[in-house]
Amino acid sequence: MDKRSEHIQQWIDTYSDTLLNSALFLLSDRQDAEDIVQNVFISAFESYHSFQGRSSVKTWLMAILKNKVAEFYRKKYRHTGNIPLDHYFDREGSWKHDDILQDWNEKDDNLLDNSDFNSVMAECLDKLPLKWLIPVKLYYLEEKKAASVCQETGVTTTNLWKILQRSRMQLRECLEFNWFNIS
Amino acid sequence: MIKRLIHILVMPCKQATLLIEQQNAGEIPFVQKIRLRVHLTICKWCSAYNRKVHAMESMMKNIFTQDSPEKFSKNELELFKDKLKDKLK
Repeated sequence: MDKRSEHIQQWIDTYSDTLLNSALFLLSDRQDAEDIVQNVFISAFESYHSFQGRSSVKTWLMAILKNKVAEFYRKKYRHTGNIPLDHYFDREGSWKHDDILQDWNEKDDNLLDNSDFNSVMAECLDKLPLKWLIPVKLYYLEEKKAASVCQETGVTTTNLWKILQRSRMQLRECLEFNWFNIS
Repeated sequence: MIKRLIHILVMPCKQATLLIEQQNAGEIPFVQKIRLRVHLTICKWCSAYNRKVHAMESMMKNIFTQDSPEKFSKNELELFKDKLKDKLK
């Protein structure tokens, strides 16, 4: 076995754990995570000679991973541009329905700890298209750092705001229908 | 009638609801921030919506941070490594 193969074998042993779990965090899908990490090692194998030890192996592999993830999203969600909101707003951009005015009575019980509520919430989130759910999820997991969410998912900042706005509209409707009983 | 007035004077609700997102992320330009504030003071629809957005913010944060996906198990890891090492021999 040459030095390159030997090193790669060693890296697979050492870094698979970190890479797989980071990929899972970024992609929310085990199979996608495995596929992408496999590609990371293949890339590392192919460009082994351009790695000159200027950074640590781990940093290098993580950088490849981030590029792959962004590329993955770009391919998968190329068309996130146009998000229609006609369902909620009329042609002039005003609210179509007055149900928005009815407040939620969330203060009665501690909703965040209510497991019934949280499962309704989870169901409502599942109804969002995946191309919105992933950026939205990352946005919260990364403590609202829009720039890094955009970098990781390949969506533009403008689109991220639209995705958040649209997801929120849909989520509100779903929660009101299934929990707050507003119709 | 009021809705139309707000629309003409400040900005349409459709845009205000988008600015709410930017505001919450702390990435709203100054002028827009003022316009949003004015809009929210006079538009009861958007200010009701804004309250709901705030409620949803904590709900979403809560749910996303508590149910992170189950990590890869030791078995899965070993299987993955063996398969890959075989491929890249």
